[in-house]
Amino acid sequence: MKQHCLIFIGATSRLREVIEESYRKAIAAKSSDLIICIVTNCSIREVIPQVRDIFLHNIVFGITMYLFSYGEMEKMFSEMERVVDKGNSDITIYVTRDHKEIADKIMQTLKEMKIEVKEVKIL
Amino acid sequence: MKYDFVITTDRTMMTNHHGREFLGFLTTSPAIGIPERLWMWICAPKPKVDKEGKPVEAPYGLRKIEAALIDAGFKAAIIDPDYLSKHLPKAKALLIGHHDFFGLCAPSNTWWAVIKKEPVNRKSFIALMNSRPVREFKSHGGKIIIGGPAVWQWLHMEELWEKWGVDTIIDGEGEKVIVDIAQRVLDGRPLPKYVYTSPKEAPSIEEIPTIKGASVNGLIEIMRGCPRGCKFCSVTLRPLRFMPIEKIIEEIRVNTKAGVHHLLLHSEDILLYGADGVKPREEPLMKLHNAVLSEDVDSLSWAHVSLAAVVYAQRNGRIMTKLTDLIYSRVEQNTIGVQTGIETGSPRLAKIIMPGKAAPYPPEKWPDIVEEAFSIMADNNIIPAATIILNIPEETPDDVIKTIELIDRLKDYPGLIVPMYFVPLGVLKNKKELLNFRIKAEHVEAMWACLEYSLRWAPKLADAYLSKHPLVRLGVRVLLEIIKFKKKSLEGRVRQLIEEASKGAYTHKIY
Repeated sequence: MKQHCLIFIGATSRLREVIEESYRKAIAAKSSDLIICIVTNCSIREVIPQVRDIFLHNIVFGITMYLFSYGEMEKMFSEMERVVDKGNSDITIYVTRDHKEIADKIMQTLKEMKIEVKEVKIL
Repeated sequence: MKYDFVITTDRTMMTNHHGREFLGFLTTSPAIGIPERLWMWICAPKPKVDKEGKPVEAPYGLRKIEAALIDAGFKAAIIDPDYLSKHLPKAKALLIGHHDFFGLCAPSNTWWAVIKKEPVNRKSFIALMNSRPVREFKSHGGKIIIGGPAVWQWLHMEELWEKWGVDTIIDGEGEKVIVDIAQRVLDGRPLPKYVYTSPKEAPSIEEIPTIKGASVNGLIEIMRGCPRGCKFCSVTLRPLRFMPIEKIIEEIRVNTKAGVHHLLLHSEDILLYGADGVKPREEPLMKLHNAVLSEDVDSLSWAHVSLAAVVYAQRNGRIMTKLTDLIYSRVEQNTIGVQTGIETGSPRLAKIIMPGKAAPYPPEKWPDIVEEAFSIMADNNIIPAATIILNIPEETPDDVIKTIELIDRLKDYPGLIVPMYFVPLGVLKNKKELLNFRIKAEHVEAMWACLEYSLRWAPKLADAYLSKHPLVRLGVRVLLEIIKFKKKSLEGRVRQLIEEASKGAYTHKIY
């Protein structure tokens, strides 16, 4: 029962490809759950077209998707601490350069976990 | 009483259809030939409610969510949509379920495409979301949580998702996850926007709660999941679970205690209860029916059977005859209604899209299986409401012609046949482009064949099946006469329609 956790920070123009990559990784890692945490000022109306195809395609994983604004960082940290299965999860943070400090803070908060950070170039 | 969690749906779902499930099909269509208010009264009358606005009978799926919350210690209740203003000001969350929020499922999409008017279920749901109590609830910070088998539709409705401020969409079996979501609401913790519960996370038999109040028309689930693996179906993705008879009886008693003495056994295939794979077995089926008929029920119907199971059951021990003999000897009825799926008359297409539908027989034999099953059902006074699916992926004109030929072979066996346009569900749910479709010339011919077949048998069905309510009987009779009249006036125009359809004149576009 391995959990794969994706944290995306930034505008959602690159979200679709990030989700697709993460989905493939989760399959390769034989994960059973995919937690997607999106930190952005984009609205749900802008997020759904980016995730729709993967969500419709998926039948095997449990998926949980959170959406936080930049002003809700504390809530996001606290929620990630609760939902991430610390002994059984891998976390990848995708972040645009202008929000790198958020990724740093997440790494400090979840310091006992294995976290990979990838920079996403803004289109 | 104050409820933290108010569970509801719109009028087309919160109704008992005058005690006749088949009338519920009319909620998937726009009003035809009569005013919409009258149409709604015929198919979706207001249910009996208590003084708080809690319906005596409520949709079974909502009852399961209510039961899960109550069992977990939450204050939750199903409330009729007309009574929301009484409860929402004190509630923390509004939970809404539906089986076709936006009219994108079949047959709503089919009626919508053919008649070019929005079906009443869609209109009714949109009216609920735009209603003053719901808007005020949201503006005061209330949480809106959506679930049910049609939640996939929200992934195509992001503008309405945002406009109505929907907090969480739950896709999949909800009994376990709703408890976590409810606790988050009370704790003020963030809610996920979207949750998909995978088959692995589906609740076990022990985790499926017993309903606390009566279900619409006495519907009781006897199993979940289906082993046939049809590519257009979402139920087949769920693990197969049989409800123990004791649990079924417990739920029947909830219904009879509330004064609901009809029993509608629900499963994707009633005949597979306790089956050996796709081969029905006499012993569990007779045991189940003997047990449920020993309760205080005065009539019984089945939600769905598969045609291959009908054939197998009858060929192997005349199980269909034994079951119907048992039912007719124990309750005051001499017919039984059931939904079933023909889907296609083309063995080629059956092999591609539903290779397990004919099992344990080969898909090449599908048309023969269908005819034999209809014959068995006719012999045993079982009245099927069958569906055919148009615009199946990889469909050719020849496939549709084979379906029309099959409908012709069935003309001497009573039933209803309803055409439906393909909806991408199950493993094909990512084929969103299929939500748009063009009505082709051969589709018009197939729909016409369905209409001719169904109108031929409608008077017999109306006599056998209709509600005892004189106004409902009159309403449906008038409706049938209007349809017959319209059909006559349409006959001359059908050729023209076919010609126009062949030029691509009729399209249904969601995207």
